[in-house]
Amino acid sequence: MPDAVSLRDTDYSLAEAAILAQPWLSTLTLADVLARPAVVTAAVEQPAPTLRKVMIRKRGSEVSVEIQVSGPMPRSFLKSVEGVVDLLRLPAGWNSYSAKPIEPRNAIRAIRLLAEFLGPETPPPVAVPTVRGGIQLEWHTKGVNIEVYVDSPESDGFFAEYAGSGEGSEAPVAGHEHELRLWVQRISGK
Amino acid sequence: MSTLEDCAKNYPDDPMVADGVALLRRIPPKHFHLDKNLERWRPSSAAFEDDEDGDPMSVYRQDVIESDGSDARRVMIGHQGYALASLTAGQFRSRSQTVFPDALREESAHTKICGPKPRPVRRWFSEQAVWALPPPGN
Repeated sequence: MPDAVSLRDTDYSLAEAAILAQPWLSTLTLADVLARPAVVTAAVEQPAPTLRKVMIRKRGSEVSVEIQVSGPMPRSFLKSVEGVVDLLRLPAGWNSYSAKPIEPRNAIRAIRLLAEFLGPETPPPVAVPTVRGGIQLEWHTKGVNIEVYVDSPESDGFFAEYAGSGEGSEAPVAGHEHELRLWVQRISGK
Repeated sequence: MSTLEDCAKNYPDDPMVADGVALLRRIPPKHFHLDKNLERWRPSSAAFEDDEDGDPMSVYRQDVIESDGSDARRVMIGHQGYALASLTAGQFRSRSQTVFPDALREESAHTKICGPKPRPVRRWFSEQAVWALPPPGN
């Protein structure tokens, strides 16, 4: 029987989220997260015989997320996921202009990126909505600025720099995973 | 994304708006956060995007607001929790943007900032912005 840890109760019913223990390191490609519009499920596998699932269920204004993994999950990751899920509650026009609501498939992609790149000692990023329904994950700490952005599941990327250097590195995530991981490591740890 | 040609045609720059004029951008609560490197609250680069419907980014001219005998708080009415960032017309122009006064019946200071806003430009705006009205409680 795996351990189950409930996230804090919130008005978007994140209490439904059950966290089952074990390594949470990486996820694999998500084929079609919008196969079912009401219940969006991403099922991925890792080399160990475990199933990892990220599910975002949206019923009207109620949104819940369930994450099942096979290992201990850092609190910073859970907090990061909360930040992303919180964005799903934003209504159209949330910026006082004409912003779109955040698309669940972008939230799933953002959560997958968090699962892939956050280490146990990585501080949670700020989850920032974009006017076209995308998400930015931002860190501005330890002398480093990082923005990881998800415009769509097929279009993501990152920007990273040493703060004040005036020179940054910008690239799609695909093909530059090692570089992004190095940047995230620079802001990780005590 | 607005092209230079589209902007020159549909939202031409008004040279009567001096480079030093402060242009105010409302920043929603999800678009500002504490930057531990700068040790201050700052707007996200995501706050400086054109509207989702393709309309250029909206700002408010501080000189017009003040000439009405008012102050910046008037563009914050009904927007609790928001902050108000400020950049000058010259700063926007330096990044290939036009400054197009677009007075509305409800807000005479309304202005459009038209031009391509790729991520580096949005990041520059977010770094250069100062607070006309800082995030609440800060």
